[in-house]
Amino acid sequence: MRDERKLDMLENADDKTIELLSGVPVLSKEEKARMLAMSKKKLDKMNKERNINISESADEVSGVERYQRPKWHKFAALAACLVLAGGIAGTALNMNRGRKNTSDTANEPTTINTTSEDATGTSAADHTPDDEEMTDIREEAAVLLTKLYNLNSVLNGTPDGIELDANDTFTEYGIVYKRVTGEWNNKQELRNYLSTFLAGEYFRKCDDRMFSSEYFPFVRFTENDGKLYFNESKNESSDLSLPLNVDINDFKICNYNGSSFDLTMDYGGINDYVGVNLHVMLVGGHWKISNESLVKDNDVTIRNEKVEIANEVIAHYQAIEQMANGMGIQVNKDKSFKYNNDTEESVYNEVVNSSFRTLEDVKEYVTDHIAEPMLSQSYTFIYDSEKYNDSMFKEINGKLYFKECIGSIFLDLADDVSVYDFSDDSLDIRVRNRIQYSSSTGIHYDSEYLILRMILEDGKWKLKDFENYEALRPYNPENGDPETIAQETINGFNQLLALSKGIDIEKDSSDTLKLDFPQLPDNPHVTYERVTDPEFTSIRDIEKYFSERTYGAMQANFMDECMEYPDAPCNRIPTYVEQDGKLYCYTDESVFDLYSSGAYNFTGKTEIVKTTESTITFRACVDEPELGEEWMLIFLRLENGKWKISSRKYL
Amino acid sequence: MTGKEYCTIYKRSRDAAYDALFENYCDYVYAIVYNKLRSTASREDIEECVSDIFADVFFGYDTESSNGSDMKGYIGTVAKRRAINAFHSLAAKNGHFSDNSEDELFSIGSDEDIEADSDLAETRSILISKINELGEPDSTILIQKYYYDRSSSEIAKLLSMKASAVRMRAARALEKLKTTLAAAGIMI
Repeated sequence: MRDERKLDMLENADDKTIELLSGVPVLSKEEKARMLAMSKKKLDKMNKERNINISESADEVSGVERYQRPKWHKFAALAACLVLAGGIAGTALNMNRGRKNTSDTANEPTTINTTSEDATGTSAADHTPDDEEMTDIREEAAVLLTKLYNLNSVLNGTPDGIELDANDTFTEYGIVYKRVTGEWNNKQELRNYLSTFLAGEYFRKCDDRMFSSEYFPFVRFTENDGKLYFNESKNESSDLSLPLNVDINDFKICNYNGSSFDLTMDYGGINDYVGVNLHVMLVGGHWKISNESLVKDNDVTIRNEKVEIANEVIAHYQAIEQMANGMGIQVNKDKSFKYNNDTEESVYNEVVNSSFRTLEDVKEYVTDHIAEPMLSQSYTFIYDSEKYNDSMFKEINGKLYFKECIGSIFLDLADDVSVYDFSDDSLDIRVRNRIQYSSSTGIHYDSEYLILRMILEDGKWKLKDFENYEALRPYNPENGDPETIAQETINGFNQLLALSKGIDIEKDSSDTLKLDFPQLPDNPHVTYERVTDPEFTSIRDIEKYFSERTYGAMQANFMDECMEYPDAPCNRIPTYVEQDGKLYCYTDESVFDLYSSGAYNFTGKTEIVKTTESTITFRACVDEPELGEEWMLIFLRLENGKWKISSRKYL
Repeated sequence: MTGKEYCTIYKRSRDAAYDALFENYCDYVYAIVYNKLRSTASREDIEECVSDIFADVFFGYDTESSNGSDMKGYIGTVAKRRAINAFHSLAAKNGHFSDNSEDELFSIGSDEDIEADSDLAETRSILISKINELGEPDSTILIQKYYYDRSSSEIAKLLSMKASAVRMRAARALEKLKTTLAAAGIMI
């Protein structure tokens, strides 16, 4: 394959060449949709990490997974500081007082009663500090918290306690930094400050968030020309697990042993987690926060364990789904062979850098994570090269090869998994499946909740099957006989195609309209004919026809083909245009009958696969020229009392 | 798309802004990334890098201080930076640089050999002009096949042609290109 790449000299090209290369259409709709989905996923993850919710409306259909920010994560550093202002803030300079006492008593284990506040943690049984010592420790803890909340605020982009010169700015990669003029002159001085109250893992975590370019565009400080600059870009969460909108005096001390203690704050039962635990140690004579952990209660723990199991199974499922679509396996394209199965030529490349060495390895992986009936229905073709000529993997002379193809992922599962039901050997989880489709007006998203069923088989959790959560309720016979609906659907399907191509519609060839499309290659001159069919007198009539019979992506695709949208980039010749109140139609010369328009030769055989209250899934037999009989899966959805085609795919 | 246009959409709907940003610059960003990574990365790696760039841009672009200039400059800068980082990390992951990769690495980071760079730029310019002289769809087919490494069936799908027709046109166009380039003293 490599030797086919004759144009290597275009690599590492200058901007002008890249500009020219970017004008060559190379990406398919599917590739663009895939990259967009991937980038949104990444963005979503970044947002989650920083607790920014970029989606505005809960009702809006969106490709970006919506993240409900926990209430406690509202930006409450200011509130926290207010709470502290009266009693605690002034204690910063008095930290040594408690430290001296605790240092002195460090070797005298005592048992602590964690003050009048209820302690949730287990107190250290071997250390009993007196009331005065405990008061000191609480003061130490309060000062640490004050500093930590202040730091949190800074990490979020609010320069609390930092003096800035707005007239001295420095811009890098689009981020404007303002000069820091107060106490700190460089990163090292700031680090020194951090090290006065942070240690170990926690110090590194905060240090990274202050200075590491990994956190671009929210890296807080940068140096330029020997000066320190601050980035005020707002980021609603610093990723520190601090409860916000709470009284920060409301903390508990536990496990105190003279040289360390845990400082626990409650989330107030709002989140799955009960609270956060900050571990505080005496380091070099100073109390410093060295780590944090989230506290869970037992029930939540069990459910979270199930979610972890589910996430693991989903991760494997997604890897398997990728394999089923020719992705996710590293190959050497220089070592390949072509396989022709009479209808299609497939390219197989040698698998490299993979734990899969043989077909048996692949089979083991797939069968370890997918159980029947899903396995036989959808995934044996990955490894069963005896049964399937074009299996995804083939093993030749002891080498494993992977088929080159790019399909589309069947389920695009979001990571908002919740436990629906479980027993010792079964687990049902609810998860959102994102359905993405594109049209000339943009990329659209629909979503549905699915129940994924998993079972414990041979000690392994496997995905067994899934069904639509919203449609778990049974089919309502009042909505018609599914067999009849399936027949009506295939009978009308080709009419949809015909209409979209401008055939089988009455036209007057003497009443024409000529249009140019200068934005398209070769500036085509197109002749439209006046539509005289009484059923269609306007674009609206065409839209109505499709919207009454199709749904979601299918509808968008048909609309795309037929109409021109003023706000969308026009990349094809629309079949219909409206001018001076008249409807005109263009029929591509190459389309002379239903067959050439891409119509399907349905044999009339149908088979209902599944029905739910709002969906019908059926198989329809299509007699494909040269291929023989093939089965197509057609999905219908009930909307406003009408069954509409939502998608189709070949089995 | 100017920063102001983007901000107008952004204020209305962030999702719409994201989609518009992607729609407008996807081909451009892909071209940049592919140009840097084509010899090092798989198609999946390249797609991942492109998706990283859009996530970065959406996150990093300051909608408050945007202006009327095209966002292309900003996006191009982020894309190049990401692509170079991806190149380094992929090269490091592979554990070694092939001779070819070393050349690429050198050319990415170096401004030293200005004369050679200038010659190469000139050669590229001639190459591009000769490809353009082939006319459509041959010029597109040629770049898709021999630069973007697309299969004939993929190109066929994009251009609504038969794969066999693409194969035939690609072979003929390549021969024609070789001849015209040879006349200009360039061998491919």
